[in-house]
Amino acid sequence: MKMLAFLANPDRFRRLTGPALPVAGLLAAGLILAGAVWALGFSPADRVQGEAVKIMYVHVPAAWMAMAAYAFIAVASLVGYVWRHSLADIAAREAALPGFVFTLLALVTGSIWGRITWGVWWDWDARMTSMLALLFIYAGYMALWRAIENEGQAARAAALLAMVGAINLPIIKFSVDFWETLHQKASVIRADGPSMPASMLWPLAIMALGYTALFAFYVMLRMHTVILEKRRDARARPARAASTATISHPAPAGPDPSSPGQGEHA
Amino acid sequence: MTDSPQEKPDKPAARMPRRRRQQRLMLAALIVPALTGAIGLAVIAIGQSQVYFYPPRDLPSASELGGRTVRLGGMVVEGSIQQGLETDTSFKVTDYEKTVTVVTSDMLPGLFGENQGVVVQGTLAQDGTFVAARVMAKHDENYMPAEVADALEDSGRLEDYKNKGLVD
Amino acid sequence: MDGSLIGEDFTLAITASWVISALCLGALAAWVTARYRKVSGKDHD
Repeated sequence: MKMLAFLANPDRFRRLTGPALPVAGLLAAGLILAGAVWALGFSPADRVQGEAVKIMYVHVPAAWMAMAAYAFIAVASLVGYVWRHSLADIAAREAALPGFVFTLLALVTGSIWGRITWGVWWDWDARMTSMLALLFIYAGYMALWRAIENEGQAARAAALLAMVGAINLPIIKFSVDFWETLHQKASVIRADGPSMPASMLWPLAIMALGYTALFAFYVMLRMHTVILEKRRDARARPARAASTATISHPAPAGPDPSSPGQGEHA
Repeated sequence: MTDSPQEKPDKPAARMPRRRRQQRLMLAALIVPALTGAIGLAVIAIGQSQVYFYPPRDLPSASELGGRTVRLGGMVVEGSIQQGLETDTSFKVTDYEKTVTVVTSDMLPGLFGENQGVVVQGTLAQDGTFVAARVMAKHDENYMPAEVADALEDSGRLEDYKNKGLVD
Repeated sequence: MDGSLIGEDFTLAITASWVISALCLGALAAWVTARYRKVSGKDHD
């Protein structure tokens, strides 16, 4: 039956990722703490920006995760859409809020940093505008999931939105190269290698890894939660949704062949 | 691809027909690139018609601009910064091909300075002076520890790094 | 106007950026954990 088929995968998923959860959580906490201490206490001031460069260590990892989370959603959406893999759909849906938060943090910390270095809180150049667009796409994606009642239809619509919106990722990345912008060009992921000394690259890398572990923690824990919620809801309902036939016909002939309760993932 | 009347309606969902999956794959492979391509082209088209800032060599004449607010970006010419009356400042912006004189009464950001990138927003006067309502400093993507820069300056090797474009 | 921010004090801005980041990410972690506890508490596996 539909419900059993759905449960088979999630249990395996929970078994496999169960031990990974506390590891991800601890790694996230440890790496971010270590990165913070290194960045704030032991990294150099910049020749041009002075101490303001310390904001980079929260701005850049947030921006990277904003894009990585969306890439994750786009891939999971493709898998869920083509293979009708409900776990992939759930993974995509649950990655949206963390992605939204990372994007918001990138914009806010970037704004503070820009006020200091550029002299303005915001400007409509290609980098900042496309990052703001990413924020809206996340919001639209989450709204779409909630707007459609049938979970299967919602998954399909959201998956299409996620896949089409993926064009924004190369736009964001190459915005500073393709157009003239206020935001500077890439300092780490670039053709000639990083234009940043090791004393800054190391704490940046540790913070980025910590943010990645944190994202993994968020998504895995949310998926476990959703799986448990679905199981709890399924138990609260009989395996076959109550058919009106059983109530109105006092002498049913046998098993009702038109069982309507086939689960939400139509 | 309709179910035959004899098939049980509650066929297990696990046995997903491969053809339907291939159909969905084809649908996705058609719709997604089509929409994506359309959006990408639209963005590029808009981007080509809008200019975030003009380098001095591309700055249209005052009559072409007609008093529109535009942005001008380049490097601040060494020795060109002059404090005028009250809060007025004038300086020159160059892209090493053409140079434009800018006047502003806006507060200047801390990073503003000679041989530093700048983006100004304002209007071009008939006499070729750019009247900036807003001055923004632009820095490049290179990072260098302050101590290292000091050491290089002391040993006279900062010029090498400047010539290599690693430092401005 | 020397084109450099060296020596200037940005403690407030730096603190604000880091604290806002910590608060948002921490709040999300707390919420995610709380929702999990709520559903795993009721389950009898």
